[in-house]
Amino acid sequence: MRCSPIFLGLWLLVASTDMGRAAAAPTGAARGTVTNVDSIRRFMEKGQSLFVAGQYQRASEVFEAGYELHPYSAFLFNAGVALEKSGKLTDAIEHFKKYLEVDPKAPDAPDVTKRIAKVERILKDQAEAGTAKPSGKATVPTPGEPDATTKSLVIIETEPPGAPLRILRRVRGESSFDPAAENPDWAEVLATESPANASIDVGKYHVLVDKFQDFNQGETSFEVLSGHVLQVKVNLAQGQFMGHLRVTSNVKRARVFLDDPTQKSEPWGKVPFGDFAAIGEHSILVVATGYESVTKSISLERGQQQELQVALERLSVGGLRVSSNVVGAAVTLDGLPVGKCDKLEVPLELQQLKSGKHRLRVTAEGRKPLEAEVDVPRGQYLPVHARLVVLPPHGAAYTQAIIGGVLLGGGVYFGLESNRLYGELRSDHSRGTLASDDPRELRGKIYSIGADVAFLGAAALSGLSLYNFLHDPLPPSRLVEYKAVEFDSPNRTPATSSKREQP
Amino acid sequence: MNALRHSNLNRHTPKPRSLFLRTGLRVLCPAAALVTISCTWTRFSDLLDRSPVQLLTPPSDTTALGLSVAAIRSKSSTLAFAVATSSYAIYEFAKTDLVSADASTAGLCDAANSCWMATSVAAVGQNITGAASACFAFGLENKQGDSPRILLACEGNIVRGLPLPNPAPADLAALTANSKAPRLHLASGPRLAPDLLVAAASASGEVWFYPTGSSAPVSVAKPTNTGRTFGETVAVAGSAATRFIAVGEPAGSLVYLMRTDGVSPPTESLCISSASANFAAAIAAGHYTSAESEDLAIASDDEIVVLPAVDSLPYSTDPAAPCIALESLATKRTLSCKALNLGGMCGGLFSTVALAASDLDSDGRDELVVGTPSAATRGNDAAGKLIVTSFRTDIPSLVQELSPSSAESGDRLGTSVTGVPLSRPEVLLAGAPGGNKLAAFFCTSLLPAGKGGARCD
Repeated sequence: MRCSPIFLGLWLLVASTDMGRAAAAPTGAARGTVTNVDSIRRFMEKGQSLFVAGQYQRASEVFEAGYELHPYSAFLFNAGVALEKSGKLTDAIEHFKKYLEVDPKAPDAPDVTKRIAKVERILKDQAEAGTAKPSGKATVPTPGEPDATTKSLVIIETEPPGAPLRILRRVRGESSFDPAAENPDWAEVLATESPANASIDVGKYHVLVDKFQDFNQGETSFEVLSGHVLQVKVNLAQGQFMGHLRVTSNVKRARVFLDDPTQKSEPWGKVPFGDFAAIGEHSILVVATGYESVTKSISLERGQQQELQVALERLSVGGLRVSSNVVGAAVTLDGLPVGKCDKLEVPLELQQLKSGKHRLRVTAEGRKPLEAEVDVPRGQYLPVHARLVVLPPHGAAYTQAIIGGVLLGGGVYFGLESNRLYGELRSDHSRGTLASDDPRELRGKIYSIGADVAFLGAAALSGLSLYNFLHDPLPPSRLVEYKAVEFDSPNRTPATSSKREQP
Repeated sequence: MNALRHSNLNRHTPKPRSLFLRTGLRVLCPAAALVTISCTWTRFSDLLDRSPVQLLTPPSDTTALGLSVAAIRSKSSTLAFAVATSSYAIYEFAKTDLVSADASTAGLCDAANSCWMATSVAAVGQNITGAASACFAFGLENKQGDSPRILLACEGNIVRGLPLPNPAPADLAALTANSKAPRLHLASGPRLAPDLLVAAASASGEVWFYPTGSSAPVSVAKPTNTGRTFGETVAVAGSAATRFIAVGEPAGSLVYLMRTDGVSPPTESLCISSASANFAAAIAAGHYTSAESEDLAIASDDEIVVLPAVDSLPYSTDPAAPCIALESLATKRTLSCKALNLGGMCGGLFSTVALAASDLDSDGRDELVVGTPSAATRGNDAAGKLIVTSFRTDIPSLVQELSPSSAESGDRLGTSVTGVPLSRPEVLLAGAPGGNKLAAFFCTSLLPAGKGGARCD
């Protein structure tokens, strides 16, 4: 990378890149932006890998499919090479011809024309000899054989676009391109305007961007391998001297404002972000939701590349989003009523809470109250969901208690009656008149047994009632805590994933 | 509780827990006591298993059990005889208690079998009529072709017969299968060692007896001018070797006393008249007073009179001697109905009484037990009851009223009553034919301490 006097950025894109521009019609060497570079690359590299593996037929199919989606001439040429290698010379000739049709200014057009003639002769010889290779039979490419190499697609862009450019290829020797020298080993293969793309052979290349408007000259070198997609971007510097500033932060997508402390304009970019900036003093404001804004001052010198790392800290306040399974559940925080959960799908939002531990209580009629400690995060909302469980039904316990009471009363009555009868019998016994068939004996026994049964029943029911009063078959109300969310996240009851419950 | 005491001693304010404990104990303790007491339903069985009044189980198909009762001590046990309508039952007592509440022997005596139950039955000792065991004279048999005879049910389920005088009393000789039971009254005496059996057919006014060791009847000469109810009641009293046959004529308020040596027909007699209606409605001999010989208790509608020492009465050899007035007998002891304080139930109350002598306190002297079947008991009309009286002193007194706690209206307890001689103070056996019941009273207020056994504790 060269920085002076012109700062030039070059990226050979291997990973996916979204250019974000409208696409022009692709040709062999045409001006226009390129979209779907990843898709182009996938077709190109897949076809190339099949080609190298000797699967020419499949390689040609992939290249053809790539051309269908992305009509770059390199796909046509490569498909022709793969067809030629697979012995389908007629098809190969058609693809080469079509290559020349769609890209008549291709730098290698004379070579392709010669190649067509050559293949036609072979085809003619084979026809005369009647020894044409059976279609579909692959031929293994010989390393270094010119006919065995495929073309690559090179996409060249400038910032700003529209700059005139030239592509030079090293045709002999090992010398590097020197813009101040004659460079006899280098030959111009393409002259056009950016953005441009070209189907070119393997080799060493150099791009020269001529002066354009008030932008300075730019240049860069690159090497083209067989069957690849290269993207070259040249940032042109204006007449004034600039530096390059890159801002990073611990918070992804934090907004960066350059010399805009009041954030009146659109952000300069979002971290990680880098761009040319005028030399001199600058104020960098980094803003992220839920974080304290940070302002930094920097001094950018000519041609200097400076990276600014900004550490953002969370706000000291946070919030709660309280939802409940009961409409109208009352919410109190640290003993103070703060609202009600009026809608199931929209949580009650409590803002500007001091981060840290708080006592949350959620109550609803007929439900077990929920009381839990929540830890309000810094600069975020903590979504919580109060699952209020219905109060245990005590109807059975009351019924048992009442029946137990009745039985107890009955037992007391029976017991007293039994005792009364026994007293009478005792009295008669003392007087000597108690008869052996006295019917009060049976009544007394019945009363006595009735008292026993009643007392036992009362005891059993009382115990059962007590148990049912104390026993709660239902689980307690629970508070479900979800992952903290940013302030700008939509306020709705979160999904059940990433939850943790506390009783 | 220790914790509570400690707390009080130190004058500390009771802690809530202590208060809770104390309150809980106050509530729970009575409840626990109530539960504990009322839970013992077996206490009723314990009480009833040793009840002082034991109802004897009537044999099946028996009705009106207890029309007449009698008891006698045999060699091995004491037997009690109870008359029902056309049947009888014998119950066995051990030394102090019943062997079983069920009858040991039961028998039928109905007109279809030419058998008629006597109006009153008598226990017969072993030395009477030569019987080898204790018997009960209970009825009359008059089979076609045979001479009528008095039937005796003896130990070992043996039935014996005693011939009637010849000629037999007309009303008895004329009995057929369609005849009603005759008015046949049987009595024996002296009470604890009966050696004389007297029979009286009140319809014909015939009276006879069977001397000791003989089955030959000895007719008693009928006094002159007797009324139609002569022989309606009969009793035998004893004094040394002399026996006194008492024959009542309630309609005439007369009692005839005849002295005999027990073998020959009576040679002396005494007629006693009373101004009270139904005098001689019931007669019972016993040792009511301290006299050497037996006394005679006689009931009328208004009063009960005890004539002490029957051998001291002015007998006459003249069969035509006029009757003497009861009032002229200075030694008599009278207990009026009013004196019994029965709550206005006098006035004919005693017309249907039964009398029995029984030594209830084992002092060698008998108490006079009056059965009053018409009396109301515990609010039950005609449930009947027994009235125990004492004639030991010159002024007779009411000792105790007895009625079973299970008395029901119409039982008519006291229609018959007798003392059952056991090895302990006697037990009273009373019939309640209205309820088909027979009740044995084991305990009275006269019972000496520790003599009553488990039933009287």
